[in-house]
Amino acid sequence: MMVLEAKNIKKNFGKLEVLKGVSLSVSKGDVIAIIGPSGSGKSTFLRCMINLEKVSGGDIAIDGEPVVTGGIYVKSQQAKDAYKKLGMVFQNFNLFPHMSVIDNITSAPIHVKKIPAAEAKEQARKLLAQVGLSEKENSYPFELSGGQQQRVAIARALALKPDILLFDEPTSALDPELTGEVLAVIRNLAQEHMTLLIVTHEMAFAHDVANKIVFMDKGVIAAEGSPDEIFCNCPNERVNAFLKNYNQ
Amino acid sequence: MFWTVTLSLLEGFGVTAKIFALTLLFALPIGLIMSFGSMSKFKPLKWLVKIFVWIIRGTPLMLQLIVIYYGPGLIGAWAAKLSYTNALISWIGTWGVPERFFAVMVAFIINYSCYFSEIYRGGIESMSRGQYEAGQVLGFTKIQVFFKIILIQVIKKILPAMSNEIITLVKDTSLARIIAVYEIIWAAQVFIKRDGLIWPLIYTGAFYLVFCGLLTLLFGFFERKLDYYKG
Amino acid sequence: MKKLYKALALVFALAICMTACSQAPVSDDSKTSAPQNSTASDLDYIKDKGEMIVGITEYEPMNYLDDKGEWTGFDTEFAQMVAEKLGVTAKFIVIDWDGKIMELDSKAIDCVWNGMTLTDEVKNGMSCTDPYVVNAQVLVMPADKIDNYKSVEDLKDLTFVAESGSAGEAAIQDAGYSCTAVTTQADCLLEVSSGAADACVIDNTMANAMTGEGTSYADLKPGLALTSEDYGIGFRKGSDVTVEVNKIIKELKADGSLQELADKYQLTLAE
Repeated sequence: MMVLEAKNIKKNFGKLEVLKGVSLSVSKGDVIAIIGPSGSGKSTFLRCMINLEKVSGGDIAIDGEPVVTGGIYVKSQQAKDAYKKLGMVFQNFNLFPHMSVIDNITSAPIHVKKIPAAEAKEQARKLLAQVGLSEKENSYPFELSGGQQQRVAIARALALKPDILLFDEPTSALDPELTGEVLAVIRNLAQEHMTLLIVTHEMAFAHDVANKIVFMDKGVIAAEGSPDEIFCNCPNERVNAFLKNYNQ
Repeated sequence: MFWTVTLSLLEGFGVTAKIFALTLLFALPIGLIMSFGSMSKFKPLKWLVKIFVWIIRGTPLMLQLIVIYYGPGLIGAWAAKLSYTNALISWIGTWGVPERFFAVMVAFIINYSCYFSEIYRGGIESMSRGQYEAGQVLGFTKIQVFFKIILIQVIKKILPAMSNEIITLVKDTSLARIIAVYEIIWAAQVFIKRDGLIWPLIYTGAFYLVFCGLLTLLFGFFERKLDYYKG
Repeated sequence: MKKLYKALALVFALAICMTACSQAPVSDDSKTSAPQNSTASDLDYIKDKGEMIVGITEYEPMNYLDDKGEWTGFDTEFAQMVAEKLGVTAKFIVIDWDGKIMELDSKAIDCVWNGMTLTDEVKNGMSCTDPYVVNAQVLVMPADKIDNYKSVEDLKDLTFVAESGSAGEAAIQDAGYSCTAVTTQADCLLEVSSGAADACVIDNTMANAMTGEGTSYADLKPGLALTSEDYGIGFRKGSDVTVEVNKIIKELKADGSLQELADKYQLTLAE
């Protein structure tokens, strides 16, 4: 079964049509990288998946549960709960500045999932170890580098045990020397067969880690396929032009 | 004489402190509710609140005190004299002045709620959208997002403006004497009128200074408490 | 973070305590908001509620507090006598003098009875009784200079202050001089004492009570009387109480009780 299925998604900002019918199916264990030029609608598409933007048309089902049908949002508890299967990591981390690292990670498990504080803390420590920041649990976000903040943000998203984790350009706000540590963490998740949907500009990383590449341009999927198909002998000229431009 | 004056001023200062405390007690939450109104997506409510805030901030508190205290009685007396009458007019004819202290509280709470609402609005609107979005994708409800994530950050941002406004309130309480509520300045003026003594009026300055000094320390304490993070 | 919330809660609790504990005496004039019969006369209105609220300022020897903290003075006792005749009790409330007409018209008070000089302005704004006491407006200056000014002509080079809208202000203007208006008679003395003005013109009774030894104005002295004037009681404009009170005043004069009161406070009754 598809863990996430989007059909013919449309999105308008006023008269501007940002998504002109985008369809994507995500199977369990998929690592899908969405690439494409700025303004192609890839971030908007990702944000539509997790209800940060309202779609103007199309269908979305999460783990078989329809949450949008024919552009209409389903107002049921099941639909509401379905979104809890999705986690999200933002370009600008969006950590809570007034909470320590450990509180950032435990707040949602404690207040949303109602997990006992001690248990949430124990789990948070494991996640911090996983992203290599065990010694930072009592630090505050402003005391961390960008790369460290993004790793905390990943741990925070993982604490809710999502079925799919969405990444919206997770390294775009980082200095080049800090991207490696974040990409390493995402790579580990992929190796553990976590389902990932990644909007990124890191072509080498996408090639390396994804089992499927989606190339978006001007609000549509211009090409999709395995990394080798997209990066080596792509029949689409726009993809080639974009990649050529990118490699310079 | 010094003790007589001190005791008398202390009694007046009790009223000053009462106006101050009650105003804060009500205006802080009401201001927050009003700030939601002024940011509402429902346009009529938003404009209603904005026009109300404009009127209250655009007229002197002294005028508001006079209107709120004398207004009902004046309108009542006017309606009672009208030759034409109906149920509404005869009801208005029964209007009388409210209690003086009550009128002072109404005027101060309305006035300060408006100023506070604008401070809250500035603070809330300066919050980045990302904080709301992060809360949403983690499954927090809107109310949880506001109280667990936004509010404490807003408080840190607005604390300097708030402390300024609250210290202004301490001194604004002296306007209550316009409608004969006997606060500390009134108590001091009694000595001028009755005994020809000027120094009690100057002496009230000490009360205000000490009170504002304590408030400054209190706000300093809060600012240090919130200094543990940046951003 | 928890500590911060605790601290905030503490402040909140303190604020509640403060309001609960400081039950400072607040004038209980809530009765004035009781429903009124709109067709009744002002006299009936006062009789119905059983009390007459008298707006005053603290002003010796007219209205002031005795050692026990009770109101006394000529006007206090006088008002109590009149109230008794009306069959009501007199209740005294200190008002901001500038707001007296609004206090009357909004029925916050029923009359002003506080050594009020009957000027045209006062007579226009309210319904006034016949004069009951005569007073003078006197020049007050530093004690070492006052004796140099014996006539109105002598005053031509002086700068003056007087209470805004007072009989003193009118007296200066009638003499053909200009003056600076301040809010209270007491402020006039402060202006002169501080050298901001050369002289002020205030009530004779006030001038005697507030200058000389034992006051902040030991260096000031009253002198030349510019005008004499009448004191009257002010009711709401159009009130029918005025006529009634005029009658009562005549009775009190006739039986000598008002003269007795005037002697007690060293005042001169009006003819």
